[in-house]
Amino acid sequence: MEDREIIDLLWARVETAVSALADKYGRLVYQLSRNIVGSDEDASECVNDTWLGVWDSIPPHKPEILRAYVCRIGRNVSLKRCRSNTAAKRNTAYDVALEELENSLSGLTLEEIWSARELGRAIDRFLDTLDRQTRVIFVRRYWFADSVKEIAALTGMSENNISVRLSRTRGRLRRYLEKEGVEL
Amino acid sequence: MKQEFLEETLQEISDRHIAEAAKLGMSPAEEVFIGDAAAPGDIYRPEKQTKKTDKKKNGRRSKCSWKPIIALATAAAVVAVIVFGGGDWWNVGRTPGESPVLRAHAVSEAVYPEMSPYPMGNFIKPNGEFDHESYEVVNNAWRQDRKEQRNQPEGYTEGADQFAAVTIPHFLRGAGTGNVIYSPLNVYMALAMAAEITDGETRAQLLALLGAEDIDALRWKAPAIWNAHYHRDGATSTVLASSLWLDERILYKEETVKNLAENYYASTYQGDMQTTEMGDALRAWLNQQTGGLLEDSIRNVKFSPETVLALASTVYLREKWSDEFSEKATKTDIFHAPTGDVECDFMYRQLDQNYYWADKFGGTFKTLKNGDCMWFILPDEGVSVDEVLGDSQLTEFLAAEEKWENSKRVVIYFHLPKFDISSDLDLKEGLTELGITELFISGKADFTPLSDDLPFAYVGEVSHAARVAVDEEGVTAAAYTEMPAPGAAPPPDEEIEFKLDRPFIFAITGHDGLPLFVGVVNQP
Repeated sequence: MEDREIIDLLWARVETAVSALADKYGRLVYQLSRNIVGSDEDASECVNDTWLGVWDSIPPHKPEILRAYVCRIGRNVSLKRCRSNTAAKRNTAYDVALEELENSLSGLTLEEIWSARELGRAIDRFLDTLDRQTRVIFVRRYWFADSVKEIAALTGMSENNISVRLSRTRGRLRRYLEKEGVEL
Repeated sequence: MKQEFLEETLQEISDRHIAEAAKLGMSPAEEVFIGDAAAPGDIYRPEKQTKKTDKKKNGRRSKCSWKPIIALATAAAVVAVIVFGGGDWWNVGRTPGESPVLRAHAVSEAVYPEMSPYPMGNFIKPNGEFDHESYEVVNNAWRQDRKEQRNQPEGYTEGADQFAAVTIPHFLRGAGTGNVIYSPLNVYMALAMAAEITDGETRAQLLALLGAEDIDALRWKAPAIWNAHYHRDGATSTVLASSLWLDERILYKEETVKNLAENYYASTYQGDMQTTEMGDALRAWLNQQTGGLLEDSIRNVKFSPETVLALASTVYLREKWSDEFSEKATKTDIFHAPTGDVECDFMYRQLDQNYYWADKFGGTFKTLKNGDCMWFILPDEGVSVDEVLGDSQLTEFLAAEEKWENSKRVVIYFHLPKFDISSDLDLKEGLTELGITELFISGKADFTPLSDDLPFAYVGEVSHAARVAVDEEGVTAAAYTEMPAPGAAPPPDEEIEFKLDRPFIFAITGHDGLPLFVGVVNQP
């Protein structure tokens, strides 16, 4: 079903909209959530919470890109669940990915120069300078927290290839932010 | 940096980037690596998917299918196929049972310069007078652009001229009774790209043949040559196009790909070489760059299962005679081909210009609209084409052209058979004889500037297809507006009949004297 039709169903409060969402984006949101929360059970619950979040927010919202909207809700729901499970020791795919990105930017004193929002926008601008394949790999790794192995499987490329590309892109990001920081 | 800070940062990634990444792994129709526009100013552009050649439009090649030719239409292509050479390439980086999926996409696309249009159209005022003012505006803009394209650093042709002199006889000799065409400029650009992606002795051999002292010299000469010959003004067109085709499992070095785009105007495409779609994409690219002229030859361009990358380079030239032939003057006559006499149409025009001669041949030229020139060399009676090709005077003559000492201004009764010839050459053997050996040997060919993944890769074949067709000025000539030219030179006092009615050699040279195409016509 087209995204536009799903949004129409949501606005019309037709419950089949939820099954349409699950059909189309269930696997994607589950994977994203699993990467963040680290357990199948939690991920399944997060997926259901995501559909609820979408149902509750459309209307009044009418997202331009439903796919991104659903992913955002799924990611936020999953992060929220993680934070509530403070007792559990976290070492999920998400943590590993974030740490990888963090390490590549260490020593840049980014927090002193930028607010999180400003830095985020700078990274978003950086993404525009990349070729599409590299950009997708980067976003899958650090926003979706997919493992290198998963990205390799999705793209049909070798794990080594993905790792090296990511490493180069992190290097480019660092140089980009250094330059942007100087120009601030 | 705190994790929360970074987490918050990532919330700012825009929806379009998330949506783009989310498409990965979804249905094939939404395949992520094909389609959509790139960010403005980004030198890396995603592929504008190449359409498959429209057969109806281009037609299968036949002498009647694409008339009118409009004076001169030529195209050549070099395709060098590089194979893995290190065992079972098919399974490298692939999990068992996995089938290949097409992901042909451009990782880098060359951007060509814009040119002002040629002054075409109606410059006649309502009162019937020629509108000099309007014409001058359009004409000046066109001339200025052309001048800028041609204004290249001094000495840029050095090396390339030597390359042409050495390779022309080498590749044209031994045509037997058939026709043969060779484009020195096309092969020069292809080998220059090969030098860019290789290193060590492999590169040294290429540089030696290309007449470049080092890679830096090549990097300033190649773009100068490219620009000096680039011409696309809506009326005539000369474009040297190049591209690199990489298997998606190759981890390429971005610097080299950038170099290819900047210095050689080469686009780079990456995808799964095992798929038929990747071969289709290359063939479509070749057809597009050569105006469909080489469709028959391009049909045979295929990747073997071991292919990991391919270099493709083309020259496409479509021009008009500066003085057209009159169709009314065209007459059927006999051409003495090596296999026997054949009838063909001879175009005719009286020329008032220099005639040149050497010990074994005579020659003259016909100028083309954009300042390029087509030279015709006729071996003396009883002298074969191969004898002339083996004579050092030929290369000296091609280098000297109008500066050739033995010349005289005469009236030339010029008879040129209409021809449409094509040839396919395998350059591998010839290049080996010219000292390019490492490139063709697994374990010796050094592709490290391009990728570290290719220790055993080598060039498996280098094919060179070309086609040249000439006729009178076609019907579109009517669309041209001629600027009335005042005055005329005094008439010469001698006359000569120059009839190309037996095997002859032709050369199409640029304004700088570099030969774009040379060929032997045995069968017009």
